Amino acid sequence: MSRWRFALRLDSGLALFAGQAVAPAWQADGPRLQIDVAPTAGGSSPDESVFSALSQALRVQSFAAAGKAGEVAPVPIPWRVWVKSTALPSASELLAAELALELWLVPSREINDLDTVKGALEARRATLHEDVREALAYWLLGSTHPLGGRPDLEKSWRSDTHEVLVRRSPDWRSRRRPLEPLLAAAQSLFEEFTRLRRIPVTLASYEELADSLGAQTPPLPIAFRQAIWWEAGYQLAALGFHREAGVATDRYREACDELRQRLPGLAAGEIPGFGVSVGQRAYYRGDFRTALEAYWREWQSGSERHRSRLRRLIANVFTDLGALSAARRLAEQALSDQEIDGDPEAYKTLGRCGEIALRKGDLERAADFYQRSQAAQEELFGAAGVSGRTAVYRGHVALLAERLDEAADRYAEAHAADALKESRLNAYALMGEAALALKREDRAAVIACLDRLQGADESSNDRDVLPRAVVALAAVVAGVPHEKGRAAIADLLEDNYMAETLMLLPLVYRQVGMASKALNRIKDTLQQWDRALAGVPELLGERVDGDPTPEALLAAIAEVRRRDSWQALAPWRSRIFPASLIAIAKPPA
Amino acid sequence: MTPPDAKPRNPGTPSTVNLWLAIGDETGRFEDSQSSSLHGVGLILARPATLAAALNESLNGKTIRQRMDAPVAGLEEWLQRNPAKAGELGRHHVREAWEYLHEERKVKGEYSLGATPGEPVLANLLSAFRWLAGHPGIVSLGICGSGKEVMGNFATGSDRMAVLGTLYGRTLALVKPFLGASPRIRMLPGRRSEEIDDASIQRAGQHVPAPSAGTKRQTTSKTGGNRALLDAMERQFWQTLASMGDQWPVPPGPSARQTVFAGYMSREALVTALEREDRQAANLVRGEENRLNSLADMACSLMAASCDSRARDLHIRFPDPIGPNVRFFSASEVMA
Repeated sequence: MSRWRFALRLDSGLALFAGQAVAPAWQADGPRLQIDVAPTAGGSSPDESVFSALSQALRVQSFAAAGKAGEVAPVPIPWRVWVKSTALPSASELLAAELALELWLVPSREINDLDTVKGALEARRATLHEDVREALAYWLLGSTHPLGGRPDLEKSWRSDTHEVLVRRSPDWRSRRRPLEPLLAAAQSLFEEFTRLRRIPVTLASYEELADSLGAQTPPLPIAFRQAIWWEAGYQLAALGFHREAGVATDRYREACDELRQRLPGLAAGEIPGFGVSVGQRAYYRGDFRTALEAYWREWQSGSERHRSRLRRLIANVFTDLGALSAARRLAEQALSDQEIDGDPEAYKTLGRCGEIALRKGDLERAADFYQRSQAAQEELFGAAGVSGRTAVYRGHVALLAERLDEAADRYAEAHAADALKESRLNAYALMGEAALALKREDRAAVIACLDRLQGADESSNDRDVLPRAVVALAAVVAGVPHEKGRAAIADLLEDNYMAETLMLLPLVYRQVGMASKALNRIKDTLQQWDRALAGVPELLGERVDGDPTPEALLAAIAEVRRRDSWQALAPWRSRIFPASLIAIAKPPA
Repeated sequence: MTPPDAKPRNPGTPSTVNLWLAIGDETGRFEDSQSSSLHGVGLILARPATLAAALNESLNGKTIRQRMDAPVAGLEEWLQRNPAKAGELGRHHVREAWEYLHEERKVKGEYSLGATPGEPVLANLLSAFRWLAGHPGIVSLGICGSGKEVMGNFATGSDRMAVLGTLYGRTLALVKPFLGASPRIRMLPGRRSEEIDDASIQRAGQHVPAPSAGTKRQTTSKTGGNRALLDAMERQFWQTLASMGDQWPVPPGPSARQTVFAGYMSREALVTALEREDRQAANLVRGEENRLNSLADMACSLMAASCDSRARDLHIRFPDPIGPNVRFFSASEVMA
């Protein structure tokens, strides 16, 4: 229901005043709009007004709008003698205008001008049918308003879209078989998303989905493309296919731009999920400031029920920025909400809680979180459907807890789990194995890990910079030439692994002065990150001493330089993961 | 009273001010607030130049000025026979025509506004009504209803002058938005007297001079009634405009408000005010006040004749609308 303003044309009926236009601005409350599937499509329009054309365009798509209780503000008693009934907007006009707002065909304002809306619709009359189709497609995927018209839709369509698109359930099912083309295509989209969450996917999987849906309901609505590429970006990133995720995200943004051009009502606000997409891409390339800004925008514009997912994503950034206390608070809040809500991605938050505990040195707690995450994944995907990722982390926890045999078992378990689904080598498991070999002082085994990783280059879709660098640096400790280590340091810096690099520098550079260039680069970036944290005080809360924040690490760098010794890093080595797996008190000679 | 053969004075320089003159009259006995008979106010509203020209218009061989300086044609002999009505010989007053037709001529039946009956007084009266109702530049307005409808709905207590002012104020506010940019409305309500023992005269606790011998009435200029009417009129005018929210902002200062709308209870006060803004209008009011009052009487009578739904043995049927510039409101539709 929106507020409307229109020119109330007063007509005295007196000949002497015939030329005087008296039209004060007047207001009306629009009806409470309900969009339903229509019993029959099409039908001819009773008149040629643009509002009537809009309603007709809706019916062509097999939908209809209804509304209750639109109301024109009452004109005070004496003045209503000058108001002819034709001077007031009719119920159907207000309904159509409300529909134009609901479908983002015009920007929504606190008070909307009826004549302006009418003019804007008139200006796009030639494309009104296409525009309404595009808008409806977006509405079906994104509106929080209920869809009605049939018992199978009234209560379930909104909850289904939430389940599939927001909660990203991998086991959504529906027996609904809608006949309306757009609704049928949306239903197919949901079914395909659900299916693709349970099997190994690549970018091509989503390209095939777009092609097949396009053939089913040509041309494929922009909103469907947008949803497909958002999902692809999210899923591919979760699987570690960051390059493909980047391609998908670029396509997602193009679709968003097209939607905004097509639907002016979207231009002013944020498209739900846009900040998540932008933030995730920025996070994975180490641009934490952009990531935080994007998440914060999404936080402010989105609804409360989207926030538990956002809390985890922000906790991810905070973890990498060393704001571990804030990260823990957000992640545990998210977990609490998700467990109550039965969120299918709660296992990811459990994993995040585990990593935070790991970084804080609370290994028992970390082990518990990872165990719960593993169990949740097995319940969701089945034992054979779980990737090796959590097993790798459980191996790291065991390694740091000096349970070396268990660590070896976990890494082997991870390789085995992944081998069932894909041919890529799990570089993170290999990183653990290299650290384990180092711990066991098995230099040959460390170097063997490096060899395995180098041999796996071509089969990997992504560079896995962090685990590769850690393996290379473990190999340096084990005796391979320092050049390998310097190359790894350069790669880490290139990908913005600043805290990790800082802790690993002593493995390559005996003297502080030799690492001056790298230290400068790290310092500059840490200063930017410190400002990024300062930009979201509402999320960060109170700063906690002991967290390896940019501020703390900047102080450590200053101390390293003052004392010309890496020793000042010692208190932080156990807090910076995964550098903590191989960082040692004394650099190799 | 202006002599019948008086010529218009020097019209003066036409003003560029968007000035409107409103001349009012009333119908009904406002002493009885429970009366079921018709009560109300009527007025004519026009630009001064239009009114000046209208008086020179010819109707059946006589100018309007000439007609307004004499009774409805055909009444003269009857008035001369009634010493009490001798004072009506020099002006056009509809009430005497009704009385004559009803009591003297026993005219009955229904006539349309366009009718040309054989009875000459009725024919002349209808002819005058048709002229006013069809005038392209003079607006005839009014509000009427039963005594209860007109006097029962406002917070004016028992003060009849305040009731009249309220009716005038609301009528003029309703047309103000149509009067173009920066209009100035100058209002001259009908003259009135009231009984000196009326409760409403106690309004200001002021001293009221004793009336002339043989009457208990006193002119409202001496009872404080004029002030009550003007205050109520101006207050109602601005309240009515303000009832549309902030569409037509009320000027904050009294001086600015008076520039837009001001009422005067005497010709002299109005003329003095007009001298400052429109010499032609001042001259018109100075020289033609009685004729303008007769035009207002016609408007008010037109309203009474067209709106009084009570059974009458003489009834005039008016078209709807009565004329291109005529609009009479029932109190129930504009005063609730």
